[in-house]
Amino acid sequence: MGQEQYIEFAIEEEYYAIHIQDIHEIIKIQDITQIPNVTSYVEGVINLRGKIVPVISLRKFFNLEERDHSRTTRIIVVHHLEDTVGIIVDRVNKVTMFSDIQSPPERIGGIDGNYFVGIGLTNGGLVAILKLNEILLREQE
Amino acid sequence: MLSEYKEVFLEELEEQLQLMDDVILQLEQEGETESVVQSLFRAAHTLKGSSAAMGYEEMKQLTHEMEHLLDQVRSKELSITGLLIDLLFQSLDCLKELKKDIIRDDASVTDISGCVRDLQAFAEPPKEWVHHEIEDLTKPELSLDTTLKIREAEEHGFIVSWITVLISPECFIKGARLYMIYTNLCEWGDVLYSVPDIEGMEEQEDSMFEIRFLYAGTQSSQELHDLVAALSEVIGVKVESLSTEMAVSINKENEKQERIVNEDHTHKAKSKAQSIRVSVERLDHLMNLVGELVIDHTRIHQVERSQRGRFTDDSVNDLSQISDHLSRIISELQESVMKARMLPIEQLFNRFPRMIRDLTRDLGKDIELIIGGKETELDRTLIEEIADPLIHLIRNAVDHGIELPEKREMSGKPRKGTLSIRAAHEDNQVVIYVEDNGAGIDPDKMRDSALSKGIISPEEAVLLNDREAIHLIFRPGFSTASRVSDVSGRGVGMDIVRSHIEKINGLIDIETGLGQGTCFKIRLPLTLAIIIGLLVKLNDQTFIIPMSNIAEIVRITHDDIETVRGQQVILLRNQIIPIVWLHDHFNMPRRGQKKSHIQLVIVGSAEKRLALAVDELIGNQEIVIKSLGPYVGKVDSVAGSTILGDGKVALIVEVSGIINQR
Repeated sequence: MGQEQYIEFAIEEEYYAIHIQDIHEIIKIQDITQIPNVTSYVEGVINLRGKIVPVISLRKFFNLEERDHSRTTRIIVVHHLEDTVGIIVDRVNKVTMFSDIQSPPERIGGIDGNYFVGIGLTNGGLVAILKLNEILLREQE
Repeated sequence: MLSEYKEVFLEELEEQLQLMDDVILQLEQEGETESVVQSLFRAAHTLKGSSAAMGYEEMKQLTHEMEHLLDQVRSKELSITGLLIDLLFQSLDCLKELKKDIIRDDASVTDISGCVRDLQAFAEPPKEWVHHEIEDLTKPELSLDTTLKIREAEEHGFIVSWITVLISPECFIKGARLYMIYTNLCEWGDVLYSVPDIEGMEEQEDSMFEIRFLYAGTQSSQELHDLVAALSEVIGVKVESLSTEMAVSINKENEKQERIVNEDHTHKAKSKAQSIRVSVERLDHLMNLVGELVIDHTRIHQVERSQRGRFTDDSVNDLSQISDHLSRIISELQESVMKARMLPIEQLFNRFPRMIRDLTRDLGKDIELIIGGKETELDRTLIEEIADPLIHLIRNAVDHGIELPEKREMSGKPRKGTLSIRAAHEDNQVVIYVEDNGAGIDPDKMRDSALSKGIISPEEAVLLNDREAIHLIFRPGFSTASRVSDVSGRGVGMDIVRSHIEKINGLIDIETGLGQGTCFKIRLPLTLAIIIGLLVKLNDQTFIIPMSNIAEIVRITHDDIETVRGQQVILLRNQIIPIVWLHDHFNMPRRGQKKSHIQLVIVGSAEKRLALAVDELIGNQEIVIKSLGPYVGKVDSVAGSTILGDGKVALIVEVSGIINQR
């Protein structure tokens, strides 16, 4: 367990991680084409080398205050089922490993604990590991 | 193992069934001609062979009976009567049911016994030759050696006969088949001689389907005949016993084999060899790749233009030359791939004669069907998509459009109604017309009907002009049929027809004259994957409106806008068209409105037009439709997206979505 690698990233000063196996690539922020009349956290779509990839804002998803994209803003492109989805984060820190992962509490800083696999422990502190299946689950109506 | 061949078998089955459908109809309309009966017989025979090989016992049995019956027609023992046509159609329907069973892998759901019984009852007892009409061929010249052999055999008490065997032209390895017949004969008796020589057969095996054996054995003519006829792929046998006298008679002309070959048939065989079956999936993949090329090319073009502004050296010229060349190649490639996906609409149209026949019968109408433009080609997915709406339109025309013969006579029209179905290419689109010379649509009746069904309010009814009233037919929940017949009015209304057509980027329009008839006009794009789109700007974002949806583009000033009951409208050639600001529809702020002019893109079909207000027109361009993917799913009023020359993603407006919300 401890040997598995994660990508650690941040929104504000909170640290999150995604399992490295789920990640396709990490790209700089791009031109995003907005899609009208869709769920607010879906920012739009980007052209990823000829493929149309939807991107979501994790900030909006977690109901955090909106902020303009900066030099460090990144899109983490992940595989989800058969689909590819980009996730906008404030900055990407590093590849990391956790010495221990604890099951998530009911709420983490005001966010539903169901969105997380667990809390990873590192030397730098606590990192919330995202449960992509839960976050990328969309009512398909 | 059989399942590997099942697909091939089903394809063949489909072809043959369609052929039979056509031919039986032809028989009914034009009466009996030798070639028509012949081709019907051949179809039945082919099916019998292949179904037997696949082990579909019922189908084999049924086709066998059909074949038997047809043979008697061919040999003039039976003549074509209405009863016989009905029986043939009935058998054909039975075959279609069997086909469905085979597709479902659900053996013997369909009961064929009734059909088989009818066929058998119709057929007369078999005569001397079961299968194929073989002409009284002249006997080949016999050598002295052979004549001696015949004498010898007769002295031993054998009966010597000429056996003429015809094998199916569909047979793959004719030489081998003939050789097997030869070996069979050798088992039963002695083959003294054969024309052509069985030994030299390989060389000419492809052109062979007839052979004559001089046979000596103990069997009677009838026995021999039955034995040989039972061999596979034999379609004709003739046995003539021979006296030595006859054998000695000489006749030189013996090359008549070609006679039985239908020219048409050899032609078909040739064209078959030049085409291959390719799965649609592969073609789709090719089309996708071409789409990528189109996108990349627009990008190269854009880069070239921006470079031209900055540099003036030769490398830029080179780039533009390459880009131009690329553009030629890509458009040619695109056209070829598109063509590969195209099929003549004939495929679909061929279903209609039979349908009309059955419908007119059931409804007691007299209708002449005119089909035109069968050769018009369009994308195969479109052909599939357009089938249901067309069938519905035709049913409507026959059921509600064209009046009963008596009624037509009373109103001074010929008893026979006309229904014409035509397809044609018109400016990069396919247009299909379904036109009848029936009663037409009465706008007053439409108003009353819509009113009583609560589709429109009394105030609305007053406001509707005749044209609008007629277009009420496309409203959901509308059906003018006062009685629900088996033919139309099964809950699928014209609204479904319209939405189906709009789904494939098509438009439907209607023209009607009371007492003169109705014409439905369907416009379809040539292909679905690559479309021509109009690029428009809303604020800073580019959107694309499919060109096929656009009727016209007008530029107006704010003063031209009028307001009717709170709705902004524009009066265009006496037609009131509501204005929709695309910004509002997409919940975007309306910026850039200080401009004195407003660009309106008029979209939709004649009955329901909308003027979409946009900020700016950029131009039209070929675009490749890309889906937004399963994560985003279906977005309201967005048909998909595409990648523009600058690499940005632009959304494609789904016009029918906007119209339907009005």
